[in-house]
Amino acid sequence: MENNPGYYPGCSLTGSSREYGKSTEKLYEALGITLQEIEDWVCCGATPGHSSSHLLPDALALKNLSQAKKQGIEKLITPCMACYSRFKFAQYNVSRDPGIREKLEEILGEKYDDENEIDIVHPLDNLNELVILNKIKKNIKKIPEDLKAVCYYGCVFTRPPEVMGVSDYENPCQMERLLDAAGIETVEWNYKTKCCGAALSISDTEIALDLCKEILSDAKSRGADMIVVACPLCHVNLDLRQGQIERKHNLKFKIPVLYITQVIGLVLGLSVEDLGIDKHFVDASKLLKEKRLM
Amino acid sequence: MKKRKMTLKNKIIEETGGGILKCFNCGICAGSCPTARVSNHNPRKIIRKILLNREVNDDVWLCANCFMCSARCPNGVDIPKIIDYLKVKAMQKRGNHNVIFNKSFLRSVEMFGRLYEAGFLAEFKMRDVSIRAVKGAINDISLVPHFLLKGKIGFFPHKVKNPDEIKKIFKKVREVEKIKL
Repeated sequence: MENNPGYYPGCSLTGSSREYGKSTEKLYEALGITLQEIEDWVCCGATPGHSSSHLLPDALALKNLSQAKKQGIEKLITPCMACYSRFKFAQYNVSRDPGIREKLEEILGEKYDDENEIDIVHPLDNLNELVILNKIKKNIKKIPEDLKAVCYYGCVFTRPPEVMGVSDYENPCQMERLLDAAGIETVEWNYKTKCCGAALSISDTEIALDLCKEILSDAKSRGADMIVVACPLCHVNLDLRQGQIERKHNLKFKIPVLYITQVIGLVLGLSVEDLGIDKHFVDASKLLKEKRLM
Repeated sequence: MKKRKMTLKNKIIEETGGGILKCFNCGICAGSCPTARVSNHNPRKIIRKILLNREVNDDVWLCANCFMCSARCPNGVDIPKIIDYLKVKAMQKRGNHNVIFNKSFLRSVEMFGRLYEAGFLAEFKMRDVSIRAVKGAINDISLVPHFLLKGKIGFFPHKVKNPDEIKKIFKKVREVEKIKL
């Protein structure tokens, strides 16, 4: 029997994006999957990590992976895109560059164990596994009425393609497949994998506001009722900053931004409170009531 | 043997592999760069200046780390790796708000093992005192009630059980990589 999958929530999912963490945990619970959190996990360093040091981000990732191995974890569910990317990068670097590997072993004071390499998995891929997808299909409780969504993947889920193990880095389809199973129509659009500028959201906010304006405008012009995301940083930019973007560019969007885990949770009958949908800046309740999801 | 002059170009070839030499200046990177559309950031120009041994005085911090440039580059030049090299180099000097941002973030991780969002944001906003920053802070104050009402931010840091282990990792990284961090 396969072990319970490991779980690395990371700082965002236990802080400002706690509704992504909560909805992920509730969704897995509803699917009968117990997540095993990495004990005493440490921050991945995110963008400031790799902008400040070539070794620090990999060292922090390997520290977490080493702990996961001690817990017997074989597959690690990592919902935050930044953390997901840093884990993939660390494995990529350490398996290809003996020089880096030697330095990391010196920093961590232990040999890197590649016999038991952990499979780093994002929920988008995990939920698309046949067994889980069938379970979702079988347990649908609410079928939305004529609900149109655009799927926004952002940058690092697919890039760099050689690190993330992806071939079609401009057109991933995992969210479309999940929403299709949930009876939600997805609309093709231009900004699926374009950057929202999250790394600059705090330090150079104006740039992030300009990039997000393009994303929101395209979603709106394609007739989407909502944007579905799978990254806490994209969510902060598109949801929390939506009011600022509207004011700066004198536009009105009022388009709800939901995490994929929240949307799938809703059709499986989980409550708005359990999924943390009431924590968003742009109120989704009117839309969800209208489409009979609430 | 005559010692090779350690220009930025030679240093980058040494540190990031020789991929940069394959650039033929097509501009797909600049055309794919999101921030190039809304600022004067231009990855093609940065790579060109390095190859021509010109001074690179560009603002590398406007790179948003989206990896579109390298994904689309027909010659597989790892532009983000080169930009990261320049960023780490810039981190060694007293710097602008991006340097302060990274330092505030990592200080929190070094102290607690995890990011203490409220503390790091407060530190960054207090240390960054340009007009741009003050304007940004005034704009962001409107978000504070939302954070408080929705319980989206913790007032106290989450600390790992053994923060000394994390401090040790930071210390060893400084020693091995010979950088300020």
